[in-house]
Amino acid sequence: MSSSGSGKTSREKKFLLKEYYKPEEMIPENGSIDIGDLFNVNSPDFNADLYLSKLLKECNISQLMDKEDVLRRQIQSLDNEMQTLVYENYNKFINATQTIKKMSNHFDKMEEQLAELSSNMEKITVSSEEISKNLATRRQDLSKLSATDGVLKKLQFLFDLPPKMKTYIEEKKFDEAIAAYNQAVGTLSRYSHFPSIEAIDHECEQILDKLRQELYNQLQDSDINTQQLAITINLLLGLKESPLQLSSAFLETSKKALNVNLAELEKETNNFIQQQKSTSEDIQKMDILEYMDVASNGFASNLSAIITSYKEIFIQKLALNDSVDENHLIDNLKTFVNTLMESFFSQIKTRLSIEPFNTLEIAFFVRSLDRLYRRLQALSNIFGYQNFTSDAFNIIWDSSAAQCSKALELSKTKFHEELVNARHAIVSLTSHEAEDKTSLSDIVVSLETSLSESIKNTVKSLSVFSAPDLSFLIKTNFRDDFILDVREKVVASMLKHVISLSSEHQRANSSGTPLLVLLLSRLNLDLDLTMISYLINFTEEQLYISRDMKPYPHLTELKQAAKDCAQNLINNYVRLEGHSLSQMIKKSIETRDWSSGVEPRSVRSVMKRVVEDVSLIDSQVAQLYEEGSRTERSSDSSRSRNAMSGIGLPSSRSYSRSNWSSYGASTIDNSLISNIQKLFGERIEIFSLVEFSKLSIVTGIIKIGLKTFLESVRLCTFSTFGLQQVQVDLYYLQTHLWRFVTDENLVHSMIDEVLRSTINRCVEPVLMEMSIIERLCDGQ
Amino acid sequence: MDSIGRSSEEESPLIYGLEHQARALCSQTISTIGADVTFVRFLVGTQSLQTSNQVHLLEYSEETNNLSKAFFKHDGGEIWSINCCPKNPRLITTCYSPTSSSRTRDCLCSLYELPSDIVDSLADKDYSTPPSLNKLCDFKSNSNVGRTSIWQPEDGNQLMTFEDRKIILWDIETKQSTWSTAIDPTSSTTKASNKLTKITTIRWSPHSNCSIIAAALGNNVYARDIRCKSSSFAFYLNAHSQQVRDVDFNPNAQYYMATCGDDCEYKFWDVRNPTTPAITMLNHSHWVWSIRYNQFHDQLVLTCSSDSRVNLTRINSLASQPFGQLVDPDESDLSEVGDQSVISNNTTSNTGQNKLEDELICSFEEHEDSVYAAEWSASDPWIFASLSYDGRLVINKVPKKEKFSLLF
Repeated sequence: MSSSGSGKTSREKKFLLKEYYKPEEMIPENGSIDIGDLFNVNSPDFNADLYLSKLLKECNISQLMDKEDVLRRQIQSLDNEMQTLVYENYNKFINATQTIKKMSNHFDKMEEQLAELSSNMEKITVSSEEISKNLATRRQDLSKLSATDGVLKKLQFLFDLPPKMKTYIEEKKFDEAIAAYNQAVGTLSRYSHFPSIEAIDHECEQILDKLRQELYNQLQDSDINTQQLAITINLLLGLKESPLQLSSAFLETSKKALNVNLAELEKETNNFIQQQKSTSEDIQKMDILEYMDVASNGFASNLSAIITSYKEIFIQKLALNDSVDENHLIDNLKTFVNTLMESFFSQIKTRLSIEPFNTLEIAFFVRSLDRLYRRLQALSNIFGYQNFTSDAFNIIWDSSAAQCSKALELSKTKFHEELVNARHAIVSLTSHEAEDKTSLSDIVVSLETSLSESIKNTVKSLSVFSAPDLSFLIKTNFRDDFILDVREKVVASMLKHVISLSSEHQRANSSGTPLLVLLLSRLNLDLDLTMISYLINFTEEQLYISRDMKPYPHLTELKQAAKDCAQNLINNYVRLEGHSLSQMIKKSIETRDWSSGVEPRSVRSVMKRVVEDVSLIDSQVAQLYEEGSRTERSSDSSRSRNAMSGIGLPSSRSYSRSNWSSYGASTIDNSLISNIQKLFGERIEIFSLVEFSKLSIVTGIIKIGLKTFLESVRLCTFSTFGLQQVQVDLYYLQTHLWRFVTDENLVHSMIDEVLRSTINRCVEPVLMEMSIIERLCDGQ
Repeated sequence: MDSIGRSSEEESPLIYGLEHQARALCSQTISTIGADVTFVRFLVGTQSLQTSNQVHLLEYSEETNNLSKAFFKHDGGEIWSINCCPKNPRLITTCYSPTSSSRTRDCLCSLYELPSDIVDSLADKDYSTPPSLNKLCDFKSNSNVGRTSIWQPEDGNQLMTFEDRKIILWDIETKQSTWSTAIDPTSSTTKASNKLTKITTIRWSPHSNCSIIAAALGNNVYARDIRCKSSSFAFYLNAHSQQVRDVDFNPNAQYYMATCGDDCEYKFWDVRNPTTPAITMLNHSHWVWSIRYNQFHDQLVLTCSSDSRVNLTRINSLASQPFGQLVDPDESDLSEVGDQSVISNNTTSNTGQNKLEDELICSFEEHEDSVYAAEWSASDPWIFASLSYDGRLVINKVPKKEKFSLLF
């Protein structure tokens, strides 16, 4: 339409076109024209004259021709292009003008239609206003009606609430009943000033009260299980009951159940005690493992279930609720658990304490302790506020110590029994000596074996306490303490007990027979020599004592005690046998009237008896003790009875001869001789220490007997024949006793002294011929 | 042989040898003499079958450490025991066996009177020709008289003798038997002992108006109250495991007494608890023949034994006046060392038997034969005599340390 462009210069056109097509090259800024651009045909700064001159300067004619040709061709193509472009654009302009013309035609039609539309709209508005005017009254009625309907529905719900709740409760759908109430409770409280609503509220309250009552009754019910309990409590919480009150009710009820468990345990314990009392085997005994199962499955698992549900119900749920004092709830739980655990522990303790020590069942015992420990560990984890493992550990320690002491008691009784057996064996030994094959050494061996076996068995069975898989060994020094305990309180005290029991027989007025005393002395000597070290070592090895643990500190004391005891016992044995020998000699001298009587015909039977007894003692002691060493004699003292009688005089011939024949003339001389002899002789200790050898022991006994002979003789008065009888007796003793003693000179000198005293106590001392004495003694 | 446990500065014991065997020893009481003159005197009776027997009166002078002697012939026979009247030093009784071979009795008991001049010091006198004793009377009873007689300890107006199982009291004035009782253990509930057991010895308690007497019978000791008519015992001790050899009453404490016997032990009793001995001592290695409390310091007890030892023991815990708190620790240490050597020398152990303060003070080993009698001097509390069978009389003193610990 506008043809303003056609009037412009080609240059302007060119510019416009260029603008339109936006050539590739950016228009360089003025002032900084590149020299190259001046010679570029496409550049806007192209200077045709400069370009031409340049070409003329640079090119020859052919090149210029070529250049001209190229340029001409370029110009032609460019002219063509431009022509096409112009035509295309022109077409576009024509199209555009046509379209514009069409549009203006259409707009005219639209205007008409719009006017029509607006008039129609006006009509509609009028009619709609009319309609709304007509309907307005109805609409108010309807909204009123629908509001009334809602209220009526709510009222209906409220009125239905009590019976619904009742049915729910009858159907035991407590939770729905409570949910229903909780829906209505807001409305009820809001409209409580209406009497009818209040009545409903009241009724609901009553129903809920009943429900509450019932739920509380359920709580009181001892048969209720933990789950039911949890549900009930949850319901009651739904009823907005006080959590504190509920928690105590909960715990109260739980306590009943747990108390039942405890009572069960107590019953078992009582049963066990009764069974222990009644020896009848027919009643089924519940062993410790079963008991512990009952305890852990019954009480402990119930308790943990209760703790779990308590925590769920009260602590976790109500933790968010600020109105509840959480600490108070936890405290409640704590006291509850503590009291129950206390009585549980006391039950367990009672049961464990009455468990007898049994080498076969000790493993069960340990297992049950282990189980208890694990259970309580688990329980403590659940509970979380307090750790019962230390309590459990104390219980375990106590009961292990109790087991140790029971083991000790058992070994003690065993040893007592063995001792009784030994006594019986000794009695049978003395009563039917000929037929009975058992010897004293057998009895000692069996006594020692049974003692060491019983200790070893005890230690072995107690070693299960230190088995590596036990839970209570971890993290505690139970093991070390236990080993020390076993070593000190079981093994060492058993040995001490044996020693102290033996030492009861080391006084003269003990009830034991001399043989028992002899036996015990050997036992104690063996204890000192081998058994104590062996048993202590065995214990340490059996219990795997750790290397850094000290060896038994009282070993030497214990050994010394055993040795002292053995010494005292052997002394007492010598004393007892010496006394019985003395008693025989004393009686035989006291009861006889020495001042009257006939010439001796033979050795008195008492002296034979003495020699028999001494040889019996000798044989008995020989079974237990070694011979021992004799004091060295000169070579001429041959030790055979034959040699003595063959020569006709005792071996120490000159010595004896002088003594035996020199008496009679003057008692002053006698006492002088005796004093001189004593001056050079050693003092003879009568009741003295003896060595652990046969000779020493028998020597001690003989010394006591001879000393008694001496003292008894000094209290009597003898006639000639009495003196001669004593002479015969003494000779008999001298020829028989020398071989039992360490030093035969001892016997000689003591017998000499007896003879001297007898001579002194004789009214008319006339000694018998030596040859006659020998003949009398031989002719026994 | 040196006695062990005494320091060298201690006076050596005085040893006197008799020519004969002897068992009888007693201390002469000289209370009738003026209070300013006291003699330490002992009477010894010899025991010899073949020769004539004598009674020796020995006076010990502490200044000169000498013995003055007086001899008296005892024609009756060998003397088993000799006892002196506590009030009249001239009156003695002996129990003796008659010499004649055709004798009817094993033992007799007679009352003798010593010459009147013995009340003065014997130091200047010469008894080269021993006079005979003046026999006043015999105390004859039916069967054999026991080998000991006991004077009434307070007044000396009564004498106690015994037969097999019977105790007889005599009035000295009238020479008549006034009271007798049989010790018959079978009648009581106590352990029945052998019927053949005879009384070994008797003893008279100085307490309760001298109404308690004790008799050793077998292993037991029986005590009677002479005011009591019934045959029940005042108390009864199952004293030793062997025969009881001697009994003594504590002179100052009513309920305490001591026994000794063939089990080598000597025991101390509180008779209010007669079932168990309060203290048992085992320091001898053979029968203990005699036990005597010191009349003045009853802590000190003398025992003698056929192991030829004489032991001096201190019993503090059962004494009338406990002492020992004032003992200088240094001194007690020293004496302990001495005692230990005694104990180690002595072969029997007595560990655990006695308390710290009750211990063997000293063991005297001057004898070489059995010692059958040991007596405290009646006038000097620190002097005692012991007599062994070979006729050796030893006069010893309480070690000075012990004496000082008692006095200060």
